[in-house]
Parts: sequence; C-alpha cells; structure tokens
Amino acid sequence: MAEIELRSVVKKYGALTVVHDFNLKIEDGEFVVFLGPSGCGKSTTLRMIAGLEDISGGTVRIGNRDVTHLEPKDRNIAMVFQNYALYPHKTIYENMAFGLRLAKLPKQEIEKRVAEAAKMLDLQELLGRKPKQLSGGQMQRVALGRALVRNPDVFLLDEPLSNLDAKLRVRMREEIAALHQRIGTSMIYVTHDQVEAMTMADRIVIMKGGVVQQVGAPLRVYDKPANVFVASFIGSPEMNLFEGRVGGSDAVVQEMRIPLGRNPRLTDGVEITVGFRPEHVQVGEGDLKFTVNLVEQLGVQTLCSGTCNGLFMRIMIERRDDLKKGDVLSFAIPEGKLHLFDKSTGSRIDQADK
Amino acid sequence: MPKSTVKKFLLSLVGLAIVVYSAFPIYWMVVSSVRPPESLLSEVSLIPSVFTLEYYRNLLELTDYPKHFANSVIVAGSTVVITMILAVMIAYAVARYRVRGKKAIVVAMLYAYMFPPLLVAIPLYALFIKIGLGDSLISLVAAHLTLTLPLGVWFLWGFFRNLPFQIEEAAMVDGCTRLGAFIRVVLPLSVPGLITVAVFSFLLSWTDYTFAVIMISSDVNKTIPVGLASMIGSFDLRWGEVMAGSTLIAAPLLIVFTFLSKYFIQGLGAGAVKG
Repeated sequence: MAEIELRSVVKKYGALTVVHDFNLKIEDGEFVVFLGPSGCGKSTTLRMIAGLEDISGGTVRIGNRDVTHLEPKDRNIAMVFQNYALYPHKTIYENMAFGLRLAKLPKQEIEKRVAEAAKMLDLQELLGRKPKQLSGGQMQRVALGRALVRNPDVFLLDEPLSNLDAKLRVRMREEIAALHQRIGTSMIYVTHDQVEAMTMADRIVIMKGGVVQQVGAPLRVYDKPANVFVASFIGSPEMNLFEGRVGGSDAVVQEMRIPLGRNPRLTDGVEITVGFRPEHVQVGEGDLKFTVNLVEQLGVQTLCSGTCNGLFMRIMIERRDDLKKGDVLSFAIPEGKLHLFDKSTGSRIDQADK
Repeated sequence: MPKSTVKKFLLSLVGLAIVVYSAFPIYWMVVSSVRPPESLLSEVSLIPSVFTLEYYRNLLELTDYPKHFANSVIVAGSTVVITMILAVMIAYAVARYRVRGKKAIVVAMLYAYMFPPLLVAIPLYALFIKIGLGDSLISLVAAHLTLTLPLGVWFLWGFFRNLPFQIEEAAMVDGCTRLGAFIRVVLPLSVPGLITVAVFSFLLSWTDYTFAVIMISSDVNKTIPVGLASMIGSFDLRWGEVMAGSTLIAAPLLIVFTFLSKYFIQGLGAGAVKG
C-alpha cells in the first residue's frame, strides 16, 4: 500500500502532446477514477503509471520511490485490462500464479494466495479451466484475481467493465467496490462511463484533450462543475446549457429570461453560458413555460424533452402518467441550481459561495 | 433431407476423384520403386507380384545419393533454422514497434517473394562467384532464404499482429522483461504459426531444383533433386533407381506433414481468417 504522486507528468508523441502537465496526489487506499471521452489521455496516463508508456516529462512516485524510469515489473503494481489479457495457453490457476512464480515465491505460498483470491472472487470451480472456457464476467474476475494475488501497492484498472453487458457491468462494479473496501489498496480506475465514476470513486479526475479539467469527489464535481465540459460530461441526462448574456438580474438567452437570484452580481451585458440540470427543475411554479415534445418514462421519474421559448431542453420530474406531446408546464430553477460559466473560457463563475 | 444426402454424396465423389488424381502418381512411384526390372515397364497391376529392394541398394551403395541426401538435409535444415530466427525477429519488430516505413519493408519482402526465382538466381550466382562462394552449400542456403524469409516474415507479421499486445503488457506487469514476455507468452501462443513457417521453409528448400541446378556444379555439393535428375542420361534411364530416389525425397515430407498437420492447418487458418 502506498501513495501515488504524479508531478508535472507530460506525454508527447513527437510534436503532439497527449498529456499536459498532470499533477495528482493519490492517498493511500484511495479509489481514484480517471474519467473522460476517448482520446482524452486517461489511459495513457494510467499506462505511464504502469510503466507501459515512456514518460516524456515529470516524475511518478509510488510510495516513497521514484518509479519514473523503472520497468513495469519493478513498480509493484497490478493491472486489469479492458480485454482481460489472460494468458490463453495457461489454466486459470496458472494465470493467477504466473506473477508469483516469476517472483520466485515458495510453492505453498503461491497455492495459498491463489486459493485465497479464488475464494474471494468465487473462482474455485474454474481453476482448472482455460480462459476460452469462461464467460466475460468470469474472465474479468480472473483478471482481478491475477492482480489481487500479487499484493501490489496499487491496482490499475483500464476500462475493465466496458466489454461486459449492462447487467453484468453493474454487478462487477459492486464487486470491485466491495473488493476495494475489503483490501484497502489504492486503485486507479479508467473509464469513459460517468456512472461508473460517480458510483465508485472517492475522487474523480476529469480529463479532456490531455488536460485535467477538474479533480474532486463525485458529488462535488456534480454540484460544482469547474467548466462547461465537466458540466455536460457529468450527470445523466445531460445538463441543459445555453449561451446568452446577463441582462439586469436575469440571464437572457434569446427570448428566455432566467432569474439569477442571489447569484453573483454580474455586469450587464456580460456574455455567459448558463446551465441547469434536468432533474433540478421545479415544475408548477415560476414563469418559464416548457412545451412537451417527447415523454420518456423511466419508472420512478419521467424525462421530457421539449422547448422553452424555442430552445431545446430536457427536464426530469417525478413520475407523471398524464403528460403528452403539446402539454405546457410552467417551471422554475431553484436558487443555487443554476450554473454560470464564462462564455469565452468556459470556466465557472462562482464568486458568491466560494 | 434426401437433397442434402445427394449433395454430400456428390461432394464426396468429387473429393475422392481429386484425391485419386493427385495421390495415384505418388502411389505409382512407390510401387515402381519396388518392382523388379523385368516387370517394371510391362506389369500394370496395382500391387506388384514380386517385391525387390534392388534399386534402393543400388542407389545407396553405388551412387552419390547418400551424399546428396546429406547435402539436402544440411541445406534445408539451415534454411529452416535461419528463416525461423530472422523471420521471428523481423516480424515481431515490424508488428510491435514503430518502425519507419515498416509497411514498405513488408511489401518489399512480399514483392521479393513473388519475383520469379530464375530472375533472382542468375544475378545471385554471379554475385556468389565474385565473393568466392560459388558452388557451395552456403550459397544455396542464401538463395533459398530469398524465398523463405519474405514468406516467413509476412506470415508471422500477420500472426503477431493478431496477438493482443495487452497479453504481453500483462506479462510485463506480472514481472517479465520485454524479452521474457516474448519468450513466455508470445512464442508459446505462436506455435502454430511457427510450425507453418518451418514446414513451408523446409518444403521450399527440400524440393528446390531451380536454384540448386544454377548454384551447384560439382557432384559432391548437389542436393537430391539435382542429383536425381542427373541420373537421367541421354542413353540410360534407370527408372527403378529414379523412383526409389523420389520415394526417399517424399518420405520426410510425408512424415513432417503427418505429425504437424494439426498445427499447420491451425496456422494457415489463423493467417487466412484474420490476416
């Protein structure tokens, strides 16, 4: 177990910089998720921590060792890959024992550790089989087991669930979270699925174009997205975002006026991006009029897409069975649920309650 | 139902015809090599009435055949070993590393393979004479490599490309060096591909006539296909010995295929489907 520290880590391919000045300190036992769209540099960063990619600049420390220039095998890490990367020619037992054999552990110790991991992940029945004979979920558990037996300083997981079907993904998500609680080793988990990030992480690192956009606890990132990108990436359904300007005590987007309330006093005419989450809308009060175009029933909630003053938006409300196309709902956006961003830079305007 | 039975029957019939068509000459060769001289050119029965090993005895005791056989073993063996070592290294590098112009390398190699051997053979011969390697087994091995190496690289390149790199990375994280991951994980998984390349290289070298007849002039350095051909003189054609010699050429191939066909077919399939 150990802390991990990345200091000014940079990755370049020739003239192209794919990771810019990455700084992060991961506490001992923390579960950190790197989140972002594909090509944002999250996997590259993980692979640099693993030692599978050369580091173009900066340092990586695991525990109190500088591992920047060490081979993967000397970093005491374990990694779980998206496609499981099990050794197809070895049995499940041998897959899990491989790393331990390379470390020249005594035979009894290897047997003991593999048995423990197999028990923890419910793999006892499968130890004699070959990877080809397992299902996706089982293979992923073997990959976890192979990581587990080695008692690494840190677990690196590279989109481990994206090859699984939706139902299995939810179950494996819970298993990984439970595993983390039980063993308490730091984990770094890469995903493009914001639900995985929200549900599992102690802290989320959101990346775009090789640049860290925001680092924070899931709810913090949800409540106070640092910029337009984070605002639109976190949360499902997506946040409604509009470009407009400040007009008196309102945000003015074309014909629509949204009261700013106690929000920061902003100069008249300043160009802003204004956003609110579909689930934060309060229906039945306020002056804004929403015309329903499409109703999606999600069970507990009802998701409506439609327009307000000609602007497309989504709102999510408690279950309503009577809504249909063409209905008009009045709504308001409660105090503190309105997000304001600088239109030119995209970053959050948030002086009032900082 | 009956329709599919008819279809099956017809398919089997066609298959059988092809097998008979291609296997009969081989069978006739084997049978002819044990038929005594009196009946060799007159008897038409499928199974000879009298067996003799006379030709084999003549071949092995009175001609240079054993020497030629040994030459062929040396040449084919060296070709296979060198092809394997170089092809594995080149193919792996081209498949895994960012090599400048790697596509050009592979395409150029394939082009070299498609080049008619005769066009390569004559300049090569001139070259070998110049550097003092004329009429040597080494020159023949080098000539065979111009065929086997491109084929091997091309085939293994496709094979390595289809092995997920993550498996090697997993091995590296598990404690292997890059070379260790290659030896412990990549090579065992590539066995079908390696065997296919080895068999192909052996086949090309073992049965080659064109290069051998150009590169080799002295009797002691001849390989069996050339040695056997030189037994066919203008006035004297010893069919029995030629058939016995041919049977002995074919024997190793038969043995190789019998034992390795499983891997061979697997390897060909892997290359064909995903390549």
